[in-house]
Amino acid sequence: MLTEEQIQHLYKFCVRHYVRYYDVQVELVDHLANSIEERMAANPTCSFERALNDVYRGFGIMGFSKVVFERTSAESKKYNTRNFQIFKSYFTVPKIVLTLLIYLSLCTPVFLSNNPEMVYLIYCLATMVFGIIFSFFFFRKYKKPKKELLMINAWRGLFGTFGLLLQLPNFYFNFLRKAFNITITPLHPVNFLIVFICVVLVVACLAGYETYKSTYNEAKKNYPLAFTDKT
Amino acid sequence: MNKKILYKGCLEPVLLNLLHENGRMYGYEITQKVRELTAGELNITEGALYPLLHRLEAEGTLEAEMENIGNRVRKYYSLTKTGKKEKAKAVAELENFANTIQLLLNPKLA
Repeated sequence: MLTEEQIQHLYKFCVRHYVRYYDVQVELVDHLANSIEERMAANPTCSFERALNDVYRGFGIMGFSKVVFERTSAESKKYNTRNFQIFKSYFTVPKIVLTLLIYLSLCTPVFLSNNPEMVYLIYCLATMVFGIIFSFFFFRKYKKPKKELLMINAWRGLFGTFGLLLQLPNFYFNFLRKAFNITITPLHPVNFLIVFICVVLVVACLAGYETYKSTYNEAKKNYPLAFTDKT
Repeated sequence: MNKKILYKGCLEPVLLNLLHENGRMYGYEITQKVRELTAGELNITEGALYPLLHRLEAEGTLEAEMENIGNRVRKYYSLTKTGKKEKAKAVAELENFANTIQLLLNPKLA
């Protein structure tokens, strides 16, 4: 069995060969260690360094880069598939009915108010305040791991989608309304389109959040050392 | 002719079958098992094995679990429910392929 120092040397060897992600390093280190142990047992005069170089040659001229490249695309695919499945799961009858009820309850003040523009403004401000509070709690709860993990880095899109959602009022009030001279009534067809885009973006944000949460929890369960200072 | 080219397409059914028979395995164990079963005839390279394992894991055919082994962490792979179905399909396809090749090489026997 290799010593702790030799294992740490293997982690450093991976970093030197451009494997910066801990979740990729773990598997490669175990593979290298097994192979080195076998070589050293078969030939006791074989040094650790020589065995390591022999094993590394087995990865071919591309070295670890092929493994890293393929793993990156596999993680990205896994993440997107999970995200799409969660996104799809929101389109069930109870959830659609709930969405319509929320829509109607948000529309009611616009119909009843003498100043619908003010109601929209309140909604937009509420969304922005929610966005700021959400971001604060999100980054507090889901702290960046101490060691870089590919499975978490494969995560993209949540804040991109969230950014788009926050930009929607700006796009509507400052561009669309002025350009097409749209009146603020909930019954205008363009307003329905905006509502539809808004709902899709909200669902995409929720799906993105759920995907990130499950990926983060999986990473914490599988790679607890990545979240500590321990090497 | 390069043996590697012939074996390349067979790697997935071979891997799925091994996992079906052994329950769960880690990367290095798979390479050793294949070498042992084929008496050194087939040697799966690391550069071919790990990308395949990662792809199958991403597709939901395999699932992975981590285990602490002394001073290092080991990643074990096993078949998921979908993986078991995929295994049956992949092995059947490989057998079909072998039969077709047999027809081409030994038409009299067929």
